[in-house]
Amino acid sequence: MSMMESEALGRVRRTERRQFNIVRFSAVALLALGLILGVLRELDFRAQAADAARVQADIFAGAVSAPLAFEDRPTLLQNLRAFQRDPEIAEAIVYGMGGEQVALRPSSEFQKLPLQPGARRVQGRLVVTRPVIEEGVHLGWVRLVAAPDPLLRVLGRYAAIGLMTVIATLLLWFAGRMALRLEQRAGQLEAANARLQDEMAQRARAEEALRQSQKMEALGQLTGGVAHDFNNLLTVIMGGLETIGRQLAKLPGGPESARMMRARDMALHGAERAATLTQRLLAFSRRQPLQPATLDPNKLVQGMGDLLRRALGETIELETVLTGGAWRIQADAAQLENAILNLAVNARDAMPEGGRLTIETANASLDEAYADKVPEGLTPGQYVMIAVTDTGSGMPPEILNMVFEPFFTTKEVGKGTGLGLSQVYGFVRQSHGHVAIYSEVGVGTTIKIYLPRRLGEEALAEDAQPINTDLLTGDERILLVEDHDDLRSYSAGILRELGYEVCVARDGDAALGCLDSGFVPDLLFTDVILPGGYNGRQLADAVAERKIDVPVLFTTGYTRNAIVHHGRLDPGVDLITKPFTFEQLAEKVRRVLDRAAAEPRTP
Amino acid sequence: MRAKALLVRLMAFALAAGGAAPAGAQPSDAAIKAAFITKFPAFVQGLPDGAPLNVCIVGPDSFGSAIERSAAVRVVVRRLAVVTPTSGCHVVYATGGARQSVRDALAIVAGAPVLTITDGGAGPTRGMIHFVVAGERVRFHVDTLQASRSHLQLSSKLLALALSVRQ
Ligand SMILES: Nc1ncnc2c1ncn2[C@@H]1O[C@H](COP(=O)(O)OP(=O)(O)OP(=O)(O)O)[C@@H](O)[C@H]1O
Ligand SMILES: [Mg+2]
Repeated sequence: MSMMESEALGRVRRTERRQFNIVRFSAVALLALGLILGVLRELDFRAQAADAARVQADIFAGAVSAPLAFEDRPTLLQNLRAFQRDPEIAEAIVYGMGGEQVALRPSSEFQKLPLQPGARRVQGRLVVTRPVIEEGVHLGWVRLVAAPDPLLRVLGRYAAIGLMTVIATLLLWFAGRMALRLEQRAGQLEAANARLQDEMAQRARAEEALRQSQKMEALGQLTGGVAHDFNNLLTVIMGGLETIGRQLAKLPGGPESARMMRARDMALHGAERAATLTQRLLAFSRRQPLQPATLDPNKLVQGMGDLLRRALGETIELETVLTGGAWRIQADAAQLENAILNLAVNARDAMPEGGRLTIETANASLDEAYADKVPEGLTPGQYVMIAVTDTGSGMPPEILNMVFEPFFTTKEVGKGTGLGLSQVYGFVRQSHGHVAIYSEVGVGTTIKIYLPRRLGEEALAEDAQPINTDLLTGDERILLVEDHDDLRSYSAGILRELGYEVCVARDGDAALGCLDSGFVPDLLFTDVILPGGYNGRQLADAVAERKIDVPVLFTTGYTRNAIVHHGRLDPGVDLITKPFTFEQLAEKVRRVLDRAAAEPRTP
Repeated sequence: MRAKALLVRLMAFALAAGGAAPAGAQPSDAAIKAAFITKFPAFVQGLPDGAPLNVCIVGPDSFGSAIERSAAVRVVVRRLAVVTPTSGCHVVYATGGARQSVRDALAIVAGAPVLTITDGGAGPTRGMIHFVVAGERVRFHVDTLQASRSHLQLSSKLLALALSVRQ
């Protein structure tokens, strides 16, 4: 289309040029024609003038022949005067046979010219010399000098050619201007065309990017739904396996129970791996509940040193370039570590022969121009960049678009899940950040994570105090709300095993029924998503309305907006993500109860 | 008026400038007549063609070699005592000698295409052209009657210069 357009444009320009050339050629031809005509006219005029003068000179010769021959000076002078009265004749001169001359004027240069018959121009004046002959007898010479042409007649003679010249010149001038304007217009057209094509290309790119982000969104919805179901199942499976383990431990040892224990361990291991995958899928779909905290990015990267070195192996050199005065960020520390680790592992896989991995932090301001180019949307402002660069194989441009898609991998079956970068992407997007990827085949890859700067002065998140696992039991009363039957009984089993008194409910109404029956809970442990009139958040509010001051522990496989604002937990809300293990639940419950006891909440 | 005055002065100048004869001295009347004699045929029609021009001087000759010297054309001057119809003259200049008077000489060639010239100094008898000296200038009378009798036509230019014309 654009090719055709520029071709058409070129054709128009060529036609215009041709037309202009025709005009220019015509003008030049006109000018040349005018000159030629003028010259011809002038020559013709001169020839005619010469002829006329010759005729007149002959008449003159005839008139003076007799007085000349018979030396009748008075008659001669009379005739001379008669001729000189003609306004077109400036001088009339008569020469005798011996060259002696008779003229009315004091001798002029015209009198001294040699006596040769004929007409010629001397100083722009026509001079005609004729012999005086009677019956073949040569008696002398006459000479007529024409008066200079009156200005008016000269003008008249040259007016036509002058006019023609002026017209031709004007024509040339117009044509030149026209050509200039045409040229300018063509230039403008071309520029406009180029601009248009540029815009079209830009729009095409933007559309492509938008399609890509829409695809990612759709994929996220799909995988999120599947992952959520899997999560519930995995929680049950893992719970069951843990219970088996605990029961097996109580049995007397023996080869049989040892074999069962190994089988259980393997099953648990598989389930845990499956749980990691579902976590990543959830992360990609941005439905993974995040617990953002205020972080120092440098400290986080430094803290990963050991982990990274172990992951990278000995052939890969690890370099960290940390900017001084890095801004704080607001992000889920565990997930950020996860993301960096995923990038490091990818880098390692891209450098089988070894190489160098550089992790860099920097403060960055992303302006509107940059933000506008991010199709999935980005708020311009201050960010902290964490860049992971390797000297590995790099990626061809055509796969750069696809690497963030879940399950996209170039690795052998069983080696890569294709979910590493999906986690990075989903997590960063969910944290209101941005991922950029730069890669060149054979040179290496840089992936930059931008996370929004955290403004405000609150303290950095403290590392949680380790809890004595032996002291995870308790006798408090817990209101457990969970719609998934297996999961409800699994959670209730754990809590009861730990010594808590539990009232179970499958939805909000049932939970309120518990309260109505006189159950006063010390902790509300509720799924975020519930069937019926209440979701977890609303249920907590309903409980609070009954003047029951109780801490709330939420659980979820994934969340929408109930307790998580845009995927991030409100401050002061506790959450345990599915699937959870016996220990995780025991520890979380104990921690929430202990904190509530330490700092009683005011209603 | 001024232009006319200027013209008069110019004329005077031209006369002064152009009037000088190339020889320096004023030519004699005889020399002038000699020159005229060879020029008359150019203003006459009816003379038989042929060069050179035969000029016959019938009677005493006062020119000497003046005619040959001042001739405008190739000329043969024959000095005759008596002219006859067969003398072959184009021009007869009759001065009236002892053997043949001017009148006789003219009578002999009358009717033949011969231009006859006479001179006032040689007697009153006039030929077709008759020299006189008037106002110190050599001038002439013209007789077209005699000329037409001899089937000659004298040019009007010549008539215009003549002192008198008989026709
Ligand atoms: N640093 C890198 N250098 C070269 N290629 C990379 C790099 N990072 C990712 N890739 C390419 O992107 C693909 C997707 O990466 P991703 O982390 O999403 O999945 P994976 O690494 O294949 O699988 P997993 O992370 O589960 O092991 C990889 O298979 C690889 O082809
Ligand atoms: Mg990977």
